[in-house]
Amino acid sequence: MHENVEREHKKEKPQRQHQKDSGQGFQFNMKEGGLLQKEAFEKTALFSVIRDAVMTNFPAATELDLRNARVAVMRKAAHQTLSQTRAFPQCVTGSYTHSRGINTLTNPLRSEEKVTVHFLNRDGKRITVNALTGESLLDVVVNQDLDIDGFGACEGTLACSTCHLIFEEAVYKKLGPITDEEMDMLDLAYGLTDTSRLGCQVCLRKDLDGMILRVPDMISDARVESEKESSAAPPKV
Amino acid sequence: MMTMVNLVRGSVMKIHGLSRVSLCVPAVCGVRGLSSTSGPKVCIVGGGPAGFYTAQQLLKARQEASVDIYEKLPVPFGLVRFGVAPDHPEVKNVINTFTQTAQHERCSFHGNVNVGKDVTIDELRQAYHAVVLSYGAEGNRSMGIPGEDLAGVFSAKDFVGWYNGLPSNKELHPDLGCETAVILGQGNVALDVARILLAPLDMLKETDITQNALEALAGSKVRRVLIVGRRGPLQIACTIKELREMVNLPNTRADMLSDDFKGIAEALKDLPRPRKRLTELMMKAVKEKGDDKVEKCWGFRFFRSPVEVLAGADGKRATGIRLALNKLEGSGESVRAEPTGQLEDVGCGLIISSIGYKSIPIDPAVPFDPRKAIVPNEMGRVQDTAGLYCSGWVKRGPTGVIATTMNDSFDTARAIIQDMEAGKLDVSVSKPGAPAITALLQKRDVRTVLFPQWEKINAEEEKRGKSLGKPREKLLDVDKMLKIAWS
Repeated sequence: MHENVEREHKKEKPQRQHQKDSGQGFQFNMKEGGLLQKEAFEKTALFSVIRDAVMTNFPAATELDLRNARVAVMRKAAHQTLSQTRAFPQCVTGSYTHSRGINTLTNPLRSEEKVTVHFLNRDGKRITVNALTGESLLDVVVNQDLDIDGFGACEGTLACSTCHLIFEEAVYKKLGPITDEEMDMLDLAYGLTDTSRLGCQVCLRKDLDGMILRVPDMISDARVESEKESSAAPPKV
Repeated sequence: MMTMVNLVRGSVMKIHGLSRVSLCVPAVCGVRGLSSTSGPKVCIVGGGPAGFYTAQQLLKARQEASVDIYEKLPVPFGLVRFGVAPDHPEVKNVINTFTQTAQHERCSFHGNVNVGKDVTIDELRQAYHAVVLSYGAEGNRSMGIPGEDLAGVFSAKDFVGWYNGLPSNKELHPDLGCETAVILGQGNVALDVARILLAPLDMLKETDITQNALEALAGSKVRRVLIVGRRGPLQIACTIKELREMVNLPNTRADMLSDDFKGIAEALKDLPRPRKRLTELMMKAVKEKGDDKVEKCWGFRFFRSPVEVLAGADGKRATGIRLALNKLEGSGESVRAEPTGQLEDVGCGLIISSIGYKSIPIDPAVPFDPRKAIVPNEMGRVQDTAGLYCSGWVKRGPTGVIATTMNDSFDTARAIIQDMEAGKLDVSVSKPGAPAITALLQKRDVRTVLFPQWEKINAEEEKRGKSLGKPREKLLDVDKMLKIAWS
């Protein structure tokens, strides 16, 4: 029942999707690692949930393309399910109400490995944490209760820029591709640099072990007047 | 997915920001668990993002501080509920963190209290150590042109309030029977309005847009929306996400004037990345005009300022708008529009002015700058008035996204904490806090809506929404809200 998938989740905003109405049944596609990965994924609770939910709510849907997608799942449940199954990439982020697909990693079957990450906070203090591969940087901040004011206001749905982080240049180059959607929100971030990314879109991998992330300053009242210096006019709500 | 959505809503999520503070079990009767007679007491006027973010920061920074949020409507969350477009539900995720704040044991929410009318600022200042004005901008800037009061002319604030269920806009009844709508202003609010006017109904009917707005839009004859700005493409105030949504809006095409874009391509290379990407997207929309057969279209019109709304034969209804053509003078950020003397008439039946919200003074005891329409302040400390602070739009003017207000509110909270620690705010003197105000309100026959009572309204709205396939169906009537809250 599963081969290549094109259809994308209907719940996503129509302008990002094309609807396909045809046929029955479901198809899922995973990245390299193909069959093994797919079978493992199919055993997960997450898979059942997605399949059932999609088939119930969108009976006309025939396929679900997971290759470049990012899915919105409830953080706690996802981690419980996934750490047990160890078969599905843990890089999931966002809220249910707005799904964005599932970000597949190249070697998800290796599942969780520990990585160390350092955050250079706004007050100059360094916060060192151990996290798991697959977690997004937003997940890390939230799950470990890091004291970073106002981080992740939109809960990872690409509707704000409060999870803005600045990477070291060498690390930045290693990160995955940046989508237009992420770039659009990043453009609004205060103190945007050439090595900036949104934390909710970057997932930990083994080769990012030891990276140092700088938490940029927020706009503070004193600098509102000099907003004119920043790269975009203050956006209206 | 729907069950998942409900699961998420029902669960108590660990939202970052309050992790340092003991999260409480939702208060049963809205009465604070501890009767905190000691500790600084802060009062916040306005239950929108500014109010909640200020409260959040105060609660986190001072373990003995308690915060009371007063809100005019029975329902909290301000523009997150009434301003954010229905098809932007993820922007409303901040409601989760605000809910946690409201349920905090040292915080209480009091809805249905009109500060300035039911209780004065002075009375609040007597009952609390500090009062924070976070009441936003409930007025709007008028165009100041003849014909502005004709039927068919609306402020974006009212139009948005109408489709978002703001009780005071429920009788707006905008007539959508015309082919062309003109929006003055090119910020994100203007784009929201354009998008809602042209969005496919399939998309809208699953959102929390009000049912009456949905029905009006279903019968809408509007096919062409022009979004007019007085300056040029490089000065446009909207952001790229909203522009991209317009460009990608199904069953619509872009209808721009290439003349408006003279010289823009050459200017691209010197622009900072955000402005460059925004402009490039616009240029792409200009080039890819789209299929003429597509009925619905939208477009920017630059270098045009409204000078008069033109009435039809009966003199009562708008049938067009007269625009003055401008040229740009100056450079950089101080580029201004100067009239050329030329005029242009555009036939239209719906005119929406989206040139800015505006704060209003709510109490004569509070200093107010009528020119800037804000409460004059230094870093959130109200001028010449000890113990009075402000955050959000009433502090810095009605621009910026929720995150901007968040930063600003954190700043105000920090100023308050600083003042407490420096002794500028004397928190050693005992203040009565909420009980004193509640007693005053009772004498005046004003009954408040506590947070658990809002949650009853919330549950009712979600229930009504469910049967319509929407996340919620908002109650439009304050009386209905109160009836459910107090049932």
